[in-house]
This record gives sequence, C-alpha cells and structure tokens, in this order.
Amino acid sequence: MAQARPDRSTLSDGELVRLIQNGETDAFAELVRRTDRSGYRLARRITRNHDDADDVLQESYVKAYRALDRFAPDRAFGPWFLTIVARTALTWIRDSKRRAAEPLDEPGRDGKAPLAERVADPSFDPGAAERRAQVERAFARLSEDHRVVLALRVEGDLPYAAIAEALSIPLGTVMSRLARARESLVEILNELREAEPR
Amino acid sequence: MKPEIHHPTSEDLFAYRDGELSSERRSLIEAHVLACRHCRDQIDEMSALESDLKLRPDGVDAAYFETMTESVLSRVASAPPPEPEAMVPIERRRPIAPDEEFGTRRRLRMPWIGIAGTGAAAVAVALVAVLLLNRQDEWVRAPRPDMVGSRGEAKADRDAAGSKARERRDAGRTSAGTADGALQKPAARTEEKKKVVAILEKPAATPALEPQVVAGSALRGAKDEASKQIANETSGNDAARDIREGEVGFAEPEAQQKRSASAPAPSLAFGRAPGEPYARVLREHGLPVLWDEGVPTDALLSAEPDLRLVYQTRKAGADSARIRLYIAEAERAKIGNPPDRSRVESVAHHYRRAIALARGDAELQAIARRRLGELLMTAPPANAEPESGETDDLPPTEP
Repeated sequence: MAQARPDRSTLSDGELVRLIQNGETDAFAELVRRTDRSGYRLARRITRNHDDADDVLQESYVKAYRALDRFAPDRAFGPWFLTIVARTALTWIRDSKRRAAEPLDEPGRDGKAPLAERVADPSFDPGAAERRAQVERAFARLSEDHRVVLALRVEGDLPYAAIAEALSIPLGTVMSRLARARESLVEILNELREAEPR
Repeated sequence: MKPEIHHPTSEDLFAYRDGELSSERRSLIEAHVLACRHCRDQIDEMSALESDLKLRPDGVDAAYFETMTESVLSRVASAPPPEPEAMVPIERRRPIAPDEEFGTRRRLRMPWIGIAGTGAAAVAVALVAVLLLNRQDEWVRAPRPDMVGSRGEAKADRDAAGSKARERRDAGRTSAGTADGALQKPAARTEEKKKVVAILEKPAATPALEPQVVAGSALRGAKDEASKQIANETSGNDAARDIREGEVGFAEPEAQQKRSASAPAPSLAFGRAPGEPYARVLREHGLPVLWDEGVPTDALLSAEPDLRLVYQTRKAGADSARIRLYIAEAERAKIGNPPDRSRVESVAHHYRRAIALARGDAELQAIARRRLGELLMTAPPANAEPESGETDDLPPTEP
C-alpha cells in the first residue's frame, strides 16, 4: 500500500532534487510519479516484455537516484532519466541474449494482440488492437539499432541530441538511423499487409 | 514535359517533422513540403504509424506503478546518494547548444591542446617506465602469494577440509546436494564449491555504482551459502539436510499433508495470505504458498505457464517474489546435463529478482539465496561475477 506523502506536485524537478539531497528521500516518489509511465513504456519497447521492463525500470530509478548529484537542477528530470532507462535496457537486452528466457508478452504471432493485453485491458477494441498489433509486429521485426532509436524517439519523445547522448553516437548518425528505421518500418508493414490481408 | 522534382532526403524530411532542423533549413524543407503531396503523405503516414505505436496500451495499471514506486523507494532509502568524489568517473561530453548545426559538434576547437596533451602523456609514460625499470630488483625479491604465511595456511586448511569431506563420503555417503547435486561427482562438487567461493570473494573489477543491488546481494548470499556448505561438509552436516521443514502451504496435497503431519505447528509460511489469482493456481496444481523441495517436478512444470500468466497480467501483486521463485525452480528443473549455461543464467536471474522482490520476507529470501548459491556451485554460469560496466548506463554529466 502506498504511503501518504506530502503533495509536492507543484515543485519543479530541480527543487525536488534539492529536497532529496537534503535528506527527504520521499521526494523521489514525485520524480518517479512524473516519469514512471514514459520510463516503463520505453523500457517495454526495448526489452519487449513486462518482466524485463519492470526490472529495467527499477534499476534505472536506483541508478538515477545514486547519480542525482550529476543532474543539473535547471533541466527537466524526464529526458535525463529516459537516457538512463535506454542505456540500462540496452545493457539488459545484451545480457538477455545469453539467456534462454522467452519474452512473456510479445505480440502474438497468430495475428492477435498479446494475451496479457487482452486480459488486462477491459476496454479492448479488437479492430484497433489488431491494427496496432500489426504495427507492433512490424516494429518487432526491425533490427535492434532501429528499434531502439525509434523507441527513444516515439516513446521517450527525446530530441535528437538526447538520443545521441543516450546511445553515444553522433547527431548525424541519429538522424540517418532514425530515417532508415522509419523507412524499414513502412516496408515491413507493407509486406505484412500483403501477407495478411485484412 | 514536367520538370524533374527533387524531394528532400528522408533524413531532412523526418527531421523537419521532428522539429530538429535549423531555422534556415526548416524554411527550405517547409517550402517543398507545402507544395509536394508525396512528401506530405510520407509525413502523415509516419505520424499515423507512430501514433499507433504510442497508443498501444501499456497494459499496466496504477497498482503496478504504486508497487513499483514503493519497491524503488525502499531500495533507495537504504542507500543515500553517494558523495560526488565517490562516483565512478564517466565520459564527459560537451553539451550541445540547441541551435547548433549537425556535424559541427565533433570539431576540435583548439587542436593544439590535443597535441600538447598527447605529448605530455607520452612523457609521463616514459617516466613511469624508467622508474619501474629502476625498481626491477625489488620485484624479484618480493614474496610470492604462496610464500605468504596466511594464504599458505588457508590453503592447507582448505586441503585438510577437502580431504575430510572426501573421507566422509568414502565412508558411505550416497546422496549429496539432492536434485542438482546429482549432476556432478561429490569430490568434484567440493572443488567446484571452492571455485565458486573464490569467484565470489574476488572483488569486482570496478567499484560498481550498485545498480545491481539485487545481483550484489544475491552473490553475497550465494557466497555465504557456499562457505556454509563447505563448513557443513567438513563437520559432517549434509547440505541436503538444509531443507526447510515445518512449512504448511496454502493448499495441502498429499505430500504436503505428510510434511505437515511432522511439522510442529501448522501455519502460513509467513503472515501474508496469497492473493486470489496466485491462490487459484496453487489450488489447481496442489502447490504450497512457498516453493519447497517437496514440490513434485511435474506439478511445478504444469503450473509454470499459469504462474507466468498471473505474473504478466499484473495480478501477482505481493506474490511476485513467490512466483519468481516458482518460475526459477521450474526453469531449473529443465536444466540439462551438462548444464545449459544460458538457462543457468536465466534461473539465477529469477532467483535474484525473487530476493529483491521479497523485501521483509526473510524466509523467502533465505530460500532463494540458498538455491542460488547451490545453483552457482553445481552449474556456475559463464559470467559468475557481478556485472561490470554499470556506469555505461548513466548519462554523461550535466553541465
């Protein structure tokens, strides 16, 4: 059960960080609240299952907390945190390749949305979900480089400069990789539409 | 004849859509896009696709985020942010000005600094080399590790302990280490345990920013367990006797009832009753609330898909750690002989997560730690050390 905490929703990210550095650890809950969904979605996009996304997200928060003294208080916490999520997720999937674990909730290969999604979403709309599932399958077939860069842009909404920092690549490479990723997404989707006429 | 149309590159088109172009270039591309239906369609199609990607439900509810937040806070509460000087240095990069053009960032503004720096580094290396060469005699005279008293004694102690254990086994011990121990011969197992202890005692290559609290604590636990087991062997205690007894699960199948008959006082393994989705799976498969060595493998394997479903549909709640332990055991039951290293790593990962999720549940943590320790002894994964290079996941220092 969540503990009752003072309302800190009006404080800026920088003010929250200063509170934490002065020993009010609880203030970190507000930073978590502001970034949990975007962080989770990004982690989920890169790891492709809830199980690993949960692990990555929690590890990312611990890392961010321990590196708060490197955070510039005049900047937004969100993009800074998402770069940590991206790097943690990349390390995670690199390590995961050595594991035999199967993704728990990948989009179904049978053309259906993941079972977890069907069970968990009470307002499940089969038509829209199937269309999204097709886009998801196209996304899942992208190369890892393309998937990650597109996830950072789409889910993280990160500017190119932040993506460059997160992936340790030059800005020009971000620009070209994103373009190739988007072109590939369209190509794969067209192939899927031909193979799976609706 | 129609004039030939030159469309902008995909890079420019998408960067325009993302608002990432300089004002001059943006005006140029915009003028084309306004007049070109093909490019507008391309932009619209991408917007629709990305919107579909964004609209995919994340499938997690507020309860998940609440639990996750509490979990994160409990982890960070015990570890205040380190002082700046304690941080592992990471690569610093020059911040990018918002209006900076692509391609200019890597230009070295003052190349002579680089040249001077390289020269200074070369001089420093040469100086150190000369100093080391001058002290070469001291190296030759320096004692070697096996000449140092304490290490030599420790080695002798270990040898004595190993021979005692071997004698005891020769005297008639038949079953060691139960399920997983069967993979190796007893003498080889003791040697393997020593190796694991040695691996676990070896300090990490980097100070590690402690993101892997889980892995770190799990390995510490594994190390303790490995040490304990070696000590037990030398004093005549079989590691297999470390099986937890007296626990009564939620459901009581026949085997469980037999165990509970000899147990002193039937009670839940720990204060918390299981949530309904988890309890339902336990009932269907006749499993105890908390995994123990008495759970039959076939029940474990048949329950695994249902347990995973409970976990992945976010119905697990406070039972997550228990489910992780079950999943670890189910995967462990599938480890072949010789052990598949990738599966061993996967199992170890589940144990670590069970340990991390079982905050306040010392019994579950103890079981998961013990099982992880045993796993690493019988089938050490390719990478038994804590993961290094964690600092790579941190963004560069902000200005």
